[in-house]
Amino acid sequence: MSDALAPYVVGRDGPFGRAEAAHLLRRAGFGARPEEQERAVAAGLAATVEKLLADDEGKEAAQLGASGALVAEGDALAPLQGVWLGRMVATRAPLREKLALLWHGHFATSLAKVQRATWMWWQYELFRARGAGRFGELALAVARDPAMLVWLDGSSNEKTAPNENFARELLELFTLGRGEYGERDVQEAARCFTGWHVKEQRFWFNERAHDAKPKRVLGRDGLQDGGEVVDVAVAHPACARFVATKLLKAFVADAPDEAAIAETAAAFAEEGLDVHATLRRLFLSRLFFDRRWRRARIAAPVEWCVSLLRRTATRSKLAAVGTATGEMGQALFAPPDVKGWDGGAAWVSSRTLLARGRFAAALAYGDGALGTAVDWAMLAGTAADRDGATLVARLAELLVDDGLEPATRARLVAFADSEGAGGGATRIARVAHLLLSAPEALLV
Amino acid sequence: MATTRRGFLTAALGAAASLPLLPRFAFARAALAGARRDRLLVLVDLAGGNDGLNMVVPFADPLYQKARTALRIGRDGVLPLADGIGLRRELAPLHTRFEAGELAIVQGVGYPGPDRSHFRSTDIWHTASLAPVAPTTGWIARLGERSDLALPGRIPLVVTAGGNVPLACVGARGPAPQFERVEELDVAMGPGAGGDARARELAALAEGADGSATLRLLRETARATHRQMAQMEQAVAASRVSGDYPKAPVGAALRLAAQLLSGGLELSACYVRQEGYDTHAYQADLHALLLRDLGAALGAFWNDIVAAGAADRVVVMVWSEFGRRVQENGSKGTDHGAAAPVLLLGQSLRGGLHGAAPRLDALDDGDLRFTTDFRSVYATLLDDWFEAPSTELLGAPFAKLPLIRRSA
Repeated sequence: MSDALAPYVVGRDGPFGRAEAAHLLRRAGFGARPEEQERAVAAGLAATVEKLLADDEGKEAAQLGASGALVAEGDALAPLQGVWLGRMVATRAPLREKLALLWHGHFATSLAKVQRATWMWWQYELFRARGAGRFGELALAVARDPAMLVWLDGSSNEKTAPNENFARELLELFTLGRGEYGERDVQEAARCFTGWHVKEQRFWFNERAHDAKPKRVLGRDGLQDGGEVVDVAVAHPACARFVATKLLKAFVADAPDEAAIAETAAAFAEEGLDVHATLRRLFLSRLFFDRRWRRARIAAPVEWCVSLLRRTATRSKLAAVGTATGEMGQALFAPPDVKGWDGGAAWVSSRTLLARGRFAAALAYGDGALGTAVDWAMLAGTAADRDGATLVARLAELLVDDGLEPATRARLVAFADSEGAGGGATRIARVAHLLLSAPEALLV
Repeated sequence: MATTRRGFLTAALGAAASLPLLPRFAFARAALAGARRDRLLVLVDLAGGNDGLNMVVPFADPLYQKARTALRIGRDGVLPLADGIGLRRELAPLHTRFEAGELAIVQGVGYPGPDRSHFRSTDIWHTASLAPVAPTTGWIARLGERSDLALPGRIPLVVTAGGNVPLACVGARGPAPQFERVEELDVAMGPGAGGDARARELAALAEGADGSATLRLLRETARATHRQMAQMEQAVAASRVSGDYPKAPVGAALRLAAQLLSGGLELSACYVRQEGYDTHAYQADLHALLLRDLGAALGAFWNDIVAAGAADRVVVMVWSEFGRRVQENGSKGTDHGAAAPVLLLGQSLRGGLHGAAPRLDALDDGDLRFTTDFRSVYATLLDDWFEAPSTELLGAPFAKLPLIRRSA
């Protein structure tokens, strides 16, 4: 094995304390409460990573499985979003949902065109079931997925006049990236996928519509079937790098540098594009714990809302939360286009910041439409009626893993003191609202 | 229960928010050496790649008829533009403007080495650059950030559409302000007295210049949001528009644009997007519906602009990242292509057909060859409409087109 993603040796390279545990749990999950962070520190880095990867849903699994049935009723977007958000909020295996979210953004498919909520749900189940395995197997399964076959018109791709939609995006957005293939590759790949149709809600190889003549794609002659195109694309050296960059953007940095990309791509290739094995190396690496990445990513709207709902342990109307994340720029099951969400700076606009602000207020003060009702007095505990500094410290620990800028902290402390220590839950809610409205509260 | 307080943003700003809005369309005249501040460009982006051949249709050309069997538009489907060329009937409100000499159609617009990736071609159009790595700023944002347009209290550029802020509207100082619905200009400040004080406190959290580039972007955008949204809210409140817009998102977006304009916001450009043009399959009905919504929305918008007395100070430009393949595919759709027409609407334009129609007997790998570089359209708008230096803003000189009728 190469030295790509060299391990983070606790002691030599730094500690595994609260800050490191919080970083790991934010990135591999949806953030954690202080007591969970303490447990992770006590268990140590290796055991914490294994627990994250073990993916044990415990007793919740049966309950979670049942929720898919709800989706079949009607083809509306909000209930579908709500069911998935409910899983993210409740799960004990957050990495699985985080991976499903990554693949949903990568193989970005929208209900707007597919128009069948059940098919969208099946695609999500596919991301969930296969998202941690070998990327090649995932890509092939997606190529045969009914929602994808409708989304990129595979289901009407005929040998008489091939439809290039899926073939182009497979090469440009799913496996290689622009510049690694030519127009001829798109045209020939499209011929390979002719006859990949849908019948009775399942993948169907329609032999009569399939172009059986040999094709040449990415320098390989004699290709026949779409499955071979996926194999050739996934085996292309550009694929490991292209997909590793997506892993880094999801788990490490909005704009990873060249060294991080090269290192992660090398590890991903060494692991045969196995996501699980690569993530283990990533989460145990020096690169992952580099201080410059910590609280430097802009949280995706779904990630941000789910994290706050988990941290504050509030109930909520999840379908309404789905609509809210849409206003923040991330509507689950309805990405803006087949490229998915750009993330990073693209999350930031006046419109999306106002939407984040509305959610912060709804969480702080309670909101009928969103169904939120945080018990601030309970969450603040003994800090509830104390001085401003104590209260702000407690809320900052709980909500943003202590990630406040000094100037923000000073302002909040002064505000909390001006409200008076006897203010009760209203005072805490006001401080929490301002805290969640600070620009750095959007960082993870 | 939380109190929702419209107008919070105004409170948060204190005195700064009371910057006077101009009376309806009483634009400031430009300083002698600067860009025109009394001129406005409305950008309508047909996202996904519009089938230009089925918008400005060479219905009489046998090669068109041969390439399009399922998707052919005949004489009955168009309104006449020239011999053998017609505008889709769905765009009837635009055809009325064509007959009045207010619609200019630039034919065969594209660029050398056309890229068939949506995302790459969108970047090329939005940045006006063919450099292998796209610049990080958009062409219209670069205009908006000129010091003579970006005066204090002025909002040069607004996006009235959902989705990402388009690259065309991202400048060196961040994204242009964006909103999609009037209701978005609203923030809850919680129950009880002291809401204004909390609003000021909230605005203060966006102050500060230290920290990472990401944090600075968040702060700067938050500060701009507080400043700009209050002005937009006032403009919307002062606006007068008709109710004749189609329900589709493009109708809502153009209605908001008309509200900002008629409400007296000092704008130089406004960006609107209509999604759905990526018609790889079963194109006929989808495309017809999109064009009908577009025609109706632009018709209503133009009526409001005329009613506001601004028809000679507004130009609308309608374009797409590429056209579509001449030969339809087996899914009754069309794949990604190249050149397509650009439509321009306004009373200051020379109406009619401009540029050479692309030839169907001289295709480039199945696609139309461009006859006019899109940057020539941009250069014309920058030089002759805004009186701003196009070579500086586009990074190179481009031949201009005789599009602008006069310079008042």
